[in-house]
Amino acid sequence: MSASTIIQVQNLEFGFFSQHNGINTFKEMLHNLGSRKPFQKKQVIDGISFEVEKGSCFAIMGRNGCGKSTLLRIISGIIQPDRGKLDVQGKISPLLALGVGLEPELSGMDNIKLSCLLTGIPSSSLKSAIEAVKHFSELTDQDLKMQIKRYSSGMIARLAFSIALAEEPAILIIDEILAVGDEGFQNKCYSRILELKEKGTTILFVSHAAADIEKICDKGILIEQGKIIFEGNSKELVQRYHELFA
Amino acid sequence: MSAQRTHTSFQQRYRLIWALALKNIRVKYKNSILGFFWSILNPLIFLLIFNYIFGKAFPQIENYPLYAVTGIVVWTLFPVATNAVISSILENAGILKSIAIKPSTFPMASLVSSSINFYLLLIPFTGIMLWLGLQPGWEALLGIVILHIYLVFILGLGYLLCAFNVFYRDIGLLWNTLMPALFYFTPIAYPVELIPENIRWAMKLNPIYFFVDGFRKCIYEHQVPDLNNWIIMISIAFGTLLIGHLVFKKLQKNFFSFY
Repeated sequence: MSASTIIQVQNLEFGFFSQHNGINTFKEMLHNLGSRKPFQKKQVIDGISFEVEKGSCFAIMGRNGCGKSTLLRIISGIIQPDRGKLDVQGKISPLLALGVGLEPELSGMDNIKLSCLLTGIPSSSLKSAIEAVKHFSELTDQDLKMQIKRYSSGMIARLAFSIALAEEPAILIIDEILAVGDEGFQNKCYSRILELKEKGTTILFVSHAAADIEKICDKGILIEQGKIIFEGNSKELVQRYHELFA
Repeated sequence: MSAQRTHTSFQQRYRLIWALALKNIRVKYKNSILGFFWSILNPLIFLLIFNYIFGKAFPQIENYPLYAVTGIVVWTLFPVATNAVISSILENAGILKSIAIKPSTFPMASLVSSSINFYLLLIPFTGIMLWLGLQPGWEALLGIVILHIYLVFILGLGYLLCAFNVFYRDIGLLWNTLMPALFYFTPIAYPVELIPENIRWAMKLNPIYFFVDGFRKCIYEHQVPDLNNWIIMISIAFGTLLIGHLVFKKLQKNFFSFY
């Protein structure tokens, strides 16, 4: 692994277990008892290898269900791969779903604190992280005292993004969730992403929005049925992506 | 080799578990008027029922209400805590899907919140026991120790059931169904002597029996449980924790497919 590489993935393989006979009827269950394994593996990631350079923005594209999110989860350390090697240098801030871990009954402020703890911000920088979230989200003190079940979906998105983006992680992972928030906040998110990129944050970016990919990313891969079918610069990548559906 | 999980330091993990436990408690009582007092009601109703129904049936027991309440206190923790631990992983599946956290954080947090709840419950129940004529000796402190060994047992059992429950939700459902049976199988409302001598050994298949018995010895009989009892309680608790932890660790790799 060269010094400029921050993520290295080699021959990664992963499969989900699926309930093979789905136990639809009791009769079926008895019939299959003992004769078949109760769970079957479904291969999702099938031998993927690539490298991401430090400070670059790397795109991952592909159809729905091709394994993009699963790949991101493996890189984030959420799932352990069945086979293959994964080498990640530095702390990852994964933005895989919006509003995860937010507790509707608690106030915005309590949620910020809890989320910071969940994402593993060290206690030494907890205070400054909370300030940064407050500042970035543009939510007023009054908003933050309110239970977040009374928030609009846009406000929740603001809060969630701010929690993920306020920190300066070594690696930021974004899974096609930038389409929320009003235009002003969207622009703010984009400029924050570009700002982080300039500061040296490496970004893994999953999106179906070709324009975004071309705007932000340098390089990327196209995945089809758990395998990489194209690797190259973002312009060609988008073209190949369009060809998939031609 | 693999990607780093967050929460590497012990201190960070401890803080997270504590924060999650407090969150559980706050959320639980958030929109209720009497909040915490509802959790006293359940054991209190048991106490009243036992007192009126069984109180006359066992005239040989001295101060039956106190006898019953010492059993009820130990029991109360069991269904609440095991259920909280069992459901903890599935309840937090959303978080586990998107943030790299050790899954065992959630069963742990659920046990802590159930314990806090239980400590709070002990305050009014100590009052009730004193009112029922308890004269606490120094043995009562040993009773507290027994409750903590009991918590270890519950955590271990919770880990075990929780791990299987991810694969087959039947476990959690079955557990609730078994609860009343287990309740009457434990000598809470009745003395062990009631069970015919030739099948009394069966009582000892129930781990909760030892904790109820030990606690009652300390609080109600003012006796120190003998060494044998301590060894049994400690081996049950730590043995269960060991098995539960190993099973959980072995199975957690595959949790992801079943959230």
